[in-house]
Amino acid sequence: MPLSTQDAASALDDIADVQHRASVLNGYQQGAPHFFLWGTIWFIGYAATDLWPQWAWAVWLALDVGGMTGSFLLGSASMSRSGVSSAGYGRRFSATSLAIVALIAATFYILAPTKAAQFGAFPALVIAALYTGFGIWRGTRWAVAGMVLGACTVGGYALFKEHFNLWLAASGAATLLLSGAWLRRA
Amino acid sequence: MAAAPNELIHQPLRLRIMAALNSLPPRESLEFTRLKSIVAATDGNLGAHLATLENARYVRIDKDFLEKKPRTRIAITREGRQALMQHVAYLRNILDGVV
Repeated sequence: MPLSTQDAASALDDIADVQHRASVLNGYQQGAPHFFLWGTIWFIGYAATDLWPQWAWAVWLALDVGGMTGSFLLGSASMSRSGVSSAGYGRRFSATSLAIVALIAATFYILAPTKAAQFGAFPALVIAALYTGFGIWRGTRWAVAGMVLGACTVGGYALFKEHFNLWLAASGAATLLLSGAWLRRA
Repeated sequence: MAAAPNELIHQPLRLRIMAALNSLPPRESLEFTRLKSIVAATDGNLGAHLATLENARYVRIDKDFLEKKPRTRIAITREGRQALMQHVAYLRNILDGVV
């Protein structure tokens, strides 16, 4: 029996809806290991910053280089498993990482922080905004993770200034690790 | 170009199953529970429609054990992708007024 235009339009809408859901869930699966990696880095970095502030730059430099390398390897492995060509992935990944680092460095240069907590708060807010923005397009769970991270950062800055980095180590790492588990269960 | 709808694929849940599987890269499969969540179906309903699609050789179903737990994975076959593409082309042609 021939189909009406309404039937055809409805079927095509259904296909688009399912493909979107599949893509969102696939993104969650691919994102989860990165949340576990960066949740661990986050905890070590902010805890070390609170305990040994004089070594904070060296600790963060080592952790960020390690984290970016780890994320790159996780992304490459995921693309290789799914049979997607990874040509240009390294270049795009490095450029994105550099853009984030450059944004934070340029902001520190132009709007120089006057308090130690501001050094810790701003990168956390940038990450929170990136997750939230990404989630608006690619899946609610990313956005929820970003908003919780942002709320923990602002709330901690207002309430726990003395041990802000320790607060951020605990609350930020917990948010990222729990978000990773939440993404994996999707 | 298909001159008629593929009645087997056009059933709403089977269409959603095929669309979900078609979004995977070649050689990739979806676990039963994940497919169930994507297409929003019950276990029994999904199982019955998968059996129909498997009989038509549109999907391949592999059952094994992972850490002593049974696991069912479903993948779309080449015939399945072709059939879906032809059906989608038919649907687009209806909207374009070609059919």
